[in-house]
Amino acid sequence: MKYDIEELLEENMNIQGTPSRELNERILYHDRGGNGMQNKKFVKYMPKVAVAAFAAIVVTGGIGYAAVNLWDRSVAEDFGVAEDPEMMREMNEKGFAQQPQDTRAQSDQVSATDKGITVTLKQTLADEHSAYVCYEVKYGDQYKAVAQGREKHPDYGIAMPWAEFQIDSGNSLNYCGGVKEVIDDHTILYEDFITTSKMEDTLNEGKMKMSLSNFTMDREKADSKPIVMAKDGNWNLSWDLSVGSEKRVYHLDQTLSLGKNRVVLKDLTISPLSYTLTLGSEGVSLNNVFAVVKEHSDGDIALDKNGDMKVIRYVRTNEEKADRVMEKLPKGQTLCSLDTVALCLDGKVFDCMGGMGNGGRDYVYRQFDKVLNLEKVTGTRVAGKYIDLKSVPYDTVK
Amino acid sequence: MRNTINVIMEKEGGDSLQDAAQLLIDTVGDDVYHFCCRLTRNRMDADDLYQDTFLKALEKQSRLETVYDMGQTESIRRNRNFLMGIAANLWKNQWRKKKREQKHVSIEDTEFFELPSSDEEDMQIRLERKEIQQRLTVHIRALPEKLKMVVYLFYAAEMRTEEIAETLHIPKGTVKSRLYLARARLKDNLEADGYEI
Repeated sequence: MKYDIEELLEENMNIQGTPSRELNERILYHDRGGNGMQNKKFVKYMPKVAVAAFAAIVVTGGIGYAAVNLWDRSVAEDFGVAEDPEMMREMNEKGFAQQPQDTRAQSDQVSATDKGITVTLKQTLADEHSAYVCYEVKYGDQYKAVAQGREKHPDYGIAMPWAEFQIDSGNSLNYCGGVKEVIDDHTILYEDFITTSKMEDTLNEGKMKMSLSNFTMDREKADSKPIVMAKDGNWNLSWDLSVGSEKRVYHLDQTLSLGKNRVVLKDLTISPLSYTLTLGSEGVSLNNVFAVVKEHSDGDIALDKNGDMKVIRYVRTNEEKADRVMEKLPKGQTLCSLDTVALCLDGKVFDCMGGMGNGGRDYVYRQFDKVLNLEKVTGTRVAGKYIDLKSVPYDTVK
Repeated sequence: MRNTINVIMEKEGGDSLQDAAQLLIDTVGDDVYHFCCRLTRNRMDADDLYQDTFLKALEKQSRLETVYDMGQTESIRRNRNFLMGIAANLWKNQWRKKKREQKHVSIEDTEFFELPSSDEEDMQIRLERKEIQQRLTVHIRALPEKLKMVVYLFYAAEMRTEEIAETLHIPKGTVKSRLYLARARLKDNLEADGYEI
């Protein structure tokens, strides 16, 4: 039987439900005393003048919208600032490189032309696990505008290349990316963030190959049959991947008390693409400890064991609960999950999710998907503890 | 539906958070709850997500738009999309934690999914359809965050691409490209499972 992906997706999401009265009452009578909301005026009752002013900002493409487009939304979400335009603007201005023409990256300007389409490499960057590639595609005059408004073109859409990445060191690569910027009617800047498929694999220096095969145009309607613009062409680019072009290794050597346990924060390595915190513990091996962060606003804390693996379910809604978990840990087990890891840029702390993933690893790894400006890093926060990196010695590795 | 709009108006601009919460529930509550159900596929999680979403929205009350009456469809739509964005973000973070606890999507996770009943439909086809939907759920959840978010907002929140672009603060073209990539990846994965797409 043949299925249609569009139909399947619509069916998959076709779920209805109605909130119970009790559920709505929980919201209405929620005790907000703790966060100081109880007697706040609700701004939705602002005067109509204010509404008009807000509308004017939106219509004229106001302050917030211009800024947030410069760096990626998902990073904002990771850092917990996605709902705060002011903080996003600050991050944008201070922490991350805003344009692809970042001087730290290689800029080989490798180019390939076929079927009237020219692909030009604009920027690459890599560390041990991640690589960033930004490339420009110029579509010849024989192609209609590649990203025009629907009012001009009934088949409005945006052109997308199909890319494959290979490195001669052999590790398989995953990537995720998309349109970075539409330059004009026939020019689009794309970006891809590439990772090894397993954390155990590293990106070794070697020849990176990017092969584009087909170009298609997605359509406004979310159907599964995009327009094929060009196919079976030869757009092969390659360049020498310079891994670890710039990174800082901070020698933390600090001990963090988590309940009865002490976790050693060894090194912190920050590259423009990622954050790796190496951990240890005092007197207890981290091997085979599978730490799971589990958060329940009102549930009991549970410690589960799973066969030979020492599985610890760690509830960390707040410090108090963390302490309670620690008290319950059996002897010989420890916690290796630090569920709040943050990076601080220009003194401002930004939360991000950190985790151990599956298995007993002794590091926390986080990949950014924007190029980080290392000069702006001033500190980090690990499991609620702030570490001022300005006073921590570090090595710069290039 | 209790019309709290009149209540608030009678209070000359009613300034209690509770009235505001009621108004918000009345205007967008059902839509947000549908969305929570579609994200979580589990009633208990949907209830939690729904509650957390509203509490978060009320914390960020300055982002909500003024609504004086039900005729203000544009403001209601913006509030709806704002809450959908919050729900999606909350779920994304919760799911990351959930993911560490379980490697597979359990049957319980798909408790909401019921096939449309049809007497003529062959049982085997129905079972296969249920199976493919469970696989699709697994594959959607395994998508990279960027792609997953637009899939949820497009299909579950039923937002238009321009609304998604506004909610995620990304260009409309990026929304389209992510939708396109997501569909292509889901199709590939289902084909790898042995289904003909």
